[in-house]
Formats: sequence, structure tokens, C-alpha cells
Amino acid sequence: MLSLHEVEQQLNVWGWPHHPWEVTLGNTHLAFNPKTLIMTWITMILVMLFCIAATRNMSLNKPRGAQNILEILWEFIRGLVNENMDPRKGASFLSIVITYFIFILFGNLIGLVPTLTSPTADYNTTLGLALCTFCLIFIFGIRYKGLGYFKHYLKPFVFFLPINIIEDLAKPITLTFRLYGNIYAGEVLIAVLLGMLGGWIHVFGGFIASVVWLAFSIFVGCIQAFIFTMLSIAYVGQAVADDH
Amino acid sequence: MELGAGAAIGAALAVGLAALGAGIGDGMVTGSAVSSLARQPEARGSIMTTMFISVGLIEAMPIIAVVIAFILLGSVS
Repeated sequence: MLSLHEVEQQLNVWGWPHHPWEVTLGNTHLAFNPKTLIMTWITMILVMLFCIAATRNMSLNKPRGAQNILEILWEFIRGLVNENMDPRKGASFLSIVITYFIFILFGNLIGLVPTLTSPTADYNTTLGLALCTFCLIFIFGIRYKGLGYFKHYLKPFVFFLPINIIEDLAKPITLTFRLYGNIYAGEVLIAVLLGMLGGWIHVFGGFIASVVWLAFSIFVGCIQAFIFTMLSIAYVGQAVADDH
Repeated sequence: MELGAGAAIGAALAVGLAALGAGIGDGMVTGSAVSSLARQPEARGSIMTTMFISVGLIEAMPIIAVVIAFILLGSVS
């Protein structure tokens, strides 16, 4: 049975660089994780290719292929947005939410391809996405309620202020760690199962565990993309709601 | 107690309690979902959506515990 470190070394077929890329701007040192960055770029290219393929030669009466998938997705998420907030306020929010869903879904699923890793298996990526949602909550709240938006911290009673602040801080933190934990734990377990598979390669049974875990990871990837999207919609919906 | 033994026990405790919490929480949610489906089968879409959202939210904390267990194991070997 191989240890986790040996499995990762054997899986390193593409030769991911081990050391972070360092950039020094003036006094600040930045270190980038090259594996996550490259996989993020690959995911971006895949999302763009999918959406361009779906919208090329669009037909109103006879949609074909990828256009059908994108339309189903669009209507599904538009239904979610319209349930949670006023459709006129949600209209400008719809595009970023669909982008969240497609990017996170592709990002989660690409990690299941044998030698690749998910960009969302790094807490930096998920923190970036969660901070986008955090900023969007404030942007939509201030746009539709002006500076009176900050009065919601004092409701229902003034001494609820610390509780409301903690609730607002917990939103991006839980979004980050929920997505990161689910996808990273799934990837580590794939490596563990592959490590255990080594000695049993001639026994058919050892392969089944890997397949079952990959199937469950597909399910978890889809669910987590949906939950991130749904929670973003719910948070922004709370921020622009007229009645409390 | 050496570091390796302490980390191993810590990781096992974290994962065990996380699994317990996740199991109990998910069980209660699914039980309520099934009984409300039995009362009102036509609300199936809405109940299933709420159930999936709740499972995702409830599993956040146990999954964080599992990640902490991996970090503990990783610092040992």
C-alpha cells in the first residue's frame, strides 16, 4: 500500500511544478500555486468553449445540441432567482449566477479526470468566488436601498448588532470552506483509494471502490455547485428584500 | 505521547465525530422530507430542492472536520 505522498508523485504525469511562482512587486512578495492557476485557466477555456458552441448558429424554433443544455440551465437558474427576489432586481444578477454555476460545475468535475486536479480544491479559488458574492451583497443592497441598507444591522433590536455582524462575516467563510472541503476531501480520497489499489490490480474487486467513489464525487460536485449558486441567490435576495 | 500518536488519535476523533454529526443531521432532514412527501406528494419538487440544499448546508461542518483530519495526518507522515 502506497502512502499519499507516493501516490501524488506517481500521479504527477504532467509535471506540475512543485514550487510556487514568486512575484515581487515593490515590497510585497506574492506566491502563486502553479497547479491551481493552470487548472483554472483550463477550466475557463472549457467554459468559454462550451458557451460559444452553444450560442453559435442559435435557432429560435429548432435548437440543437448544446443550445438546449444552456437553455435548460438558464431557465432553471432564472426560476431560482425569480423565486428569491423581485425579477426586475434579479435580472442583472442572473448572468453572474449562471457563470458561478457553470464554472464551479466544470471546475469540480474536471478534477475527476485521472491526472488532473480541480481548481476548486484550493481554498484560494473558493475564497475568490466567495468574496465576489460578499461584494455583490453590498453592491446590490446599496444600489436598491441606498445607505439605509446598513440599518438592517440594527434590526430587530439594537443589541443584535454583533450577531448580525458575525452572520455577515460567516457568509463568505462558510461558502469558501464548504466548497473547498467537499472537493478537496473527494480528491484526497481518490488518491487514497488509488494507493490501496496498487497491490490488488489483478483482483477485480479493488477497482469497484474507485468507481463508486468517482460516481459519488460527480454527485457531490453537482450538488456543491448548486448549493453555492443557491446560497448566493438567497443572500443577495435577503439584501434586496423589501420586507424583513 | 509523541506527535505522531497524538495526531493520529486527533484525526480519528475528528473524522468519527464528524461522521456521527453528519449521519444524525442528514437522517433528521431526510426523515422530515419523507414524512412531508407522504402528506403532500404534489409538493415533490420543492421538498426535494429544499432537502438537497439542507444536506449541503448541514454537511459543511463535518467536511471541514474531515479536512482538518487530513491536515493532521499530513503533518505526521
